[in-house]
Amino acid sequence: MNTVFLLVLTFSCITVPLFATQLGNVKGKKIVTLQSSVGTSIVKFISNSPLEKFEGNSQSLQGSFTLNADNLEQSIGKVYFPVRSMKSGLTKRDDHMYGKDWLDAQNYPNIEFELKKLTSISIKKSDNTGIEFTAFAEGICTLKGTSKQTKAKLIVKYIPESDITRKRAPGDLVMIDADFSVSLKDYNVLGRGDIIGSKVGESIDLDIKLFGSTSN
Amino acid sequence: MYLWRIIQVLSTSTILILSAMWILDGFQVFTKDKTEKVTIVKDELFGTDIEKREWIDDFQLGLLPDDPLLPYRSLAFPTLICLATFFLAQYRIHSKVQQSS
Repeated sequence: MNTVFLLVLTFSCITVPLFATQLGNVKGKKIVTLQSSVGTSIVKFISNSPLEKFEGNSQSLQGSFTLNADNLEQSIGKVYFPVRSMKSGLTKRDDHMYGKDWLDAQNYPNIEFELKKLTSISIKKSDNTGIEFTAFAEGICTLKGTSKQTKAKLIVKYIPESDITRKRAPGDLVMIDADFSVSLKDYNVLGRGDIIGSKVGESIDLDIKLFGSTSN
Repeated sequence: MYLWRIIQVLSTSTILILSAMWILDGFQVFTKDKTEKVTIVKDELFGTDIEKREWIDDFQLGLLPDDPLLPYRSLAFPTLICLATFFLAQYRIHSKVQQSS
């Protein structure tokens, strides 16, 4: 019985690290902070409704995340942006969007995404110029005070610090491309009358680009 | 009668000019007061194209107004007024013709 237990324990010790994805030759935990010197982080939101397709964006993203280079699955972080930084090209619509019926910017000033873990990691490229991998970011999206489990598809490009990267910003540089969509109803964003579904899409597609560096 | 003819010509011209503006502004459903300037820049470091986006003040006429309290900021409202004026003028011209004959 003890032998079986020891075998299971040994097997677990061997196999668990095998499932941990490593970030090339990079070691340890890397705290990546969003920095405009690396690039302009942007979240584009796209609404597709029968009456009109429109898109807007916010370029006021802030936050940081910790990439666990020894076990990418255990990466965590938090990114957020102010509701009032969202623009759609129509001032009146933006004013409505910030209002109580919609995103209620006064009571819930930020939209947040908290990364809990990365899954389905696939290293696409790993050489001296950098590492590129795809993954799913699983975490909690908080919008209008409602938090929901969310899964976003990611493409991450990690470039170790070099003379070339230092011209832009110190530290290792990171670019993340993320896509996911949110259903407005799930976050208690109901709008006025029957606007959702006619003038505004029932779900909003988000296309996010984040730029950060490991230097603070 | 000439006055009503002039009003008809002006109404028609207004509809045509506003329709041309609406087409040139890209068949917008709602009037917009900003346009997004998108510049695509090649980012050699990350090996990808980066979009630089900025909003600039630019009035674009839409079929419907951007603000329901300002209906004149649309194609639909002035078009309806001009059509009503056109048919009123036509009615007046028709009445005058009947009176004179």
